[in-house]
Amino acid sequence: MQDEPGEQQPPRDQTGSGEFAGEKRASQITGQEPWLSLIGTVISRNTAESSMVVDDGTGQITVRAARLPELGSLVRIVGRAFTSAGKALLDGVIVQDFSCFDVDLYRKVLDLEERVYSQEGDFHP
Amino acid sequence: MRIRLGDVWRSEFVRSESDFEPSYILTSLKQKVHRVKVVGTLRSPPIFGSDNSYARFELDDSTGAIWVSAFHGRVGMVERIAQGDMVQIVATVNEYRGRLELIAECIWKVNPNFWLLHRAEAARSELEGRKEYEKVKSIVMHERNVLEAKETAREIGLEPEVIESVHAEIAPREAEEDLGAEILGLISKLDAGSGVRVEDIVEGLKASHSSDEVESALGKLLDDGDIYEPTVGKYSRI
Repeated sequence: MQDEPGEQQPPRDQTGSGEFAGEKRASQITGQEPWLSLIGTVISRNTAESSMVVDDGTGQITVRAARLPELGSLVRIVGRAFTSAGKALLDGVIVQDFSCFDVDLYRKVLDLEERVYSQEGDFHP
Repeated sequence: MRIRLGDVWRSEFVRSESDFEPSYILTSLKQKVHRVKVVGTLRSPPIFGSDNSYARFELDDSTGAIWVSAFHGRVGMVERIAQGDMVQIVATVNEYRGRLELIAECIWKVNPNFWLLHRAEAARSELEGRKEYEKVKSIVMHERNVLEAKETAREIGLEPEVIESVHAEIAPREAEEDLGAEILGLISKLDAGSGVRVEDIVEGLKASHSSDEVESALGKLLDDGDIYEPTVGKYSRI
């Protein structure tokens, strides 16, 4: 759609392209990622420090978040990584409730995407 | 079309020349898409215009992030969503100041399993797109010209317009390969042992190619290791 004449145009900035929250495993996080996303289980929480530890099966990472989910919850974190005392941490900008998430189906979709979008590009079902 | 935001970013935006035709993106598989269906998370809280004439938010689907705008009657749909919500959006594509954005037509919240369905369907669309692209490429390479290729495409139910995009992609590559072969042939013919001057190569091909085209092709042949420079400005085959 072209901009409509006389229409008030919203402010646009130049940030909406390159930086996206790509899916990462906890074990891959270096602390340098401007945005990332991670799916895992809350295995401990520290209300005094507003932080929790999330385990995704490949490793664990401490996530700072304004709202802490219940212990044992399956969550998806969208956030920014940083390092503190040489350790990678996550600023959980968004914490999504993934309690209804079908993890087996997720693994199948990841496998499908791996085959479809791999460099060979010749996958046929 | 169900699509990942990363694939939207890899597409080329084509602004419509006419008021009656929508602008579109041309994907890497040369599909013309003017309306997309995407699923992602609101990464930022929505911004609203002072008189609710627009709303705007950033959507992230883990393969790309893009700003989405809604205008006038559609602003109400944005009032019902918040940062962190996972949503499905049907939107048209637009470019504003050189940057792609989406203009929302429908927005609704979805649960995380719907996101998996979307991802699987986007993968299926990708596979179907590849099959269609291969068919179109085959038509372009086997027909004598674009008009005949378009007619063949129409007969088997493919979009004839795609023929032009695929032809535009393939034709320069073929022409470049042809020129490279001509240059190699000319060097073989003229080289007495000390190489052939670039001026002589340009002169030999001036009926069909400009000096810029020849010099560019010489550069590519050098890069590919097909020729070398025994002395500056002279070329020999390897």
